[in-house]
Amino acid sequence: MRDIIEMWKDTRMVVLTAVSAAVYAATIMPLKIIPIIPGFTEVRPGVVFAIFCSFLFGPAGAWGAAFGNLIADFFGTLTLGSIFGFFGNFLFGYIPYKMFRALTSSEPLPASRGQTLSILTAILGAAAACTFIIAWGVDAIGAVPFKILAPIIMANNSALSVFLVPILLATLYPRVKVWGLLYTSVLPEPLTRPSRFARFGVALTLIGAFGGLIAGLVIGYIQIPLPLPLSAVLAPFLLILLIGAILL
Amino acid sequence: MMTVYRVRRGFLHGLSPVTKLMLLPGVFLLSLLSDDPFVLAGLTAGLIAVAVGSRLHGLVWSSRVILGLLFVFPAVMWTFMYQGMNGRGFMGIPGATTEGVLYGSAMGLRLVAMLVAGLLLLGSTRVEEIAWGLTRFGLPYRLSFALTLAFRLVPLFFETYRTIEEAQRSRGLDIRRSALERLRGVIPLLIPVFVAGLRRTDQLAVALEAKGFGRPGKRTSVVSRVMRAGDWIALAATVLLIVFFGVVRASL
Repeated sequence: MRDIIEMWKDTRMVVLTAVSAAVYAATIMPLKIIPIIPGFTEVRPGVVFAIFCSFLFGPAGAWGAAFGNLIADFFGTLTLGSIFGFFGNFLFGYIPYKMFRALTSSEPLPASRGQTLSILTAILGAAAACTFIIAWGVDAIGAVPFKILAPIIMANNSALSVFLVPILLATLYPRVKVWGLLYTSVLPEPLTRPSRFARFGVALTLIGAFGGLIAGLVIGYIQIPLPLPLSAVLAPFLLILLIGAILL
Repeated sequence: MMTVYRVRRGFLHGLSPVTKLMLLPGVFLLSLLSDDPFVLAGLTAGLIAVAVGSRLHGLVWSSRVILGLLFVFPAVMWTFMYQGMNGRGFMGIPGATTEGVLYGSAMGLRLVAMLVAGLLLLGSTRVEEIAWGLTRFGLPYRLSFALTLAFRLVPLFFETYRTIEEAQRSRGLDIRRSALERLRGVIPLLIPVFVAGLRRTDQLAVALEAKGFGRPGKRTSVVSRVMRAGDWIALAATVLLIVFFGVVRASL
């Protein structure tokens, strides 16, 4: 996790953060006029770029996703939900490159079945983590119930990404590599190495994200009576997810 | 530059960005302290009064569609989903409860209050001022710089997109298409836009380094605002309101 702090020492990573944020914001802003849940989510084909930038620029892509979402919110939908949006989108950009590196040492290209599977696992893990955090937070403030928001964000985050990100990677990854802009080229090697517990982190991240999502949906749709608010019941999953993300 | 900021000489424009960045979470907290739709309606009315006093009512009015949707959506949704303690029906509508209507209206008004507060901050504060304010709260300069730079790059991406689209049209791209087809056509256009953005990265990084961006040490800023009496009054009023509503909530 040190890379998300240390990257700020490199000017190119600062610029890549801004570029990733601007691309993400520019691709989600025009569709804010077609809300699915007003103020919280809209049709978002731009999410593809958040994941794509993560694979290319690593920590700069993670910060870029968080800033990009915040910038888009600055154009008229800034609420308390934006805080959860910031953290959710940060993980949306943080998990793909981290999880992929933990799963395989090869390049993020859909060249083999194993690589493609690792890319898809990373995409779906990131989509679930982002969805869980935003839906959990928005439910906690009582704005939109978890069971309504979560399926929409999950579909938004993953539907296009699983198809388009591998295509974008196959098209643009080699070119960006030649330009020397991959995070693995910009940052020193110790910062790009996965941690010793990275695989354990992958497992915890997936358990926390998918476990929390499924638990929230089951509780919501079966209408299980709870002694505590839903956000408190789901808090252990959030903790597992965050520990997993730190270990990646 | 694309922005929500409005050049005015209003009350909020005179406040320090630091104050406004503290007032925003203050208003968020205030809106969370009550589930009573009448209290939240009062808060929203107060914020609209501030908007009028700061000559930002035009900005709030221009957001009326999203504000309306933001109120209606949770209000309708919670009307049917919130059963409450006694589950008393509402006007004979199947599935709707009186408590649901009240709770839904409160949730809708809460979101409206939050959004109006956000609009007031953005309408009265430049991006550079927000970034400066954030550094006063301890956000590292490089992070606030990246945020400001990203803001600057967004319209540049739109401009590049338009240029590439026009170039493709000049080569015979059919523009008489349905909205869905045009949307589908956006995706291939985004790749050259992205590539064009990336090509600027190295130039921009070199330009920044040449201007001393990488140098260590404390940085100075062209933006500098001191706290005046108005700032302290606004902060004190917000704190008093938070304490008052906090005490009321605790006593219920």
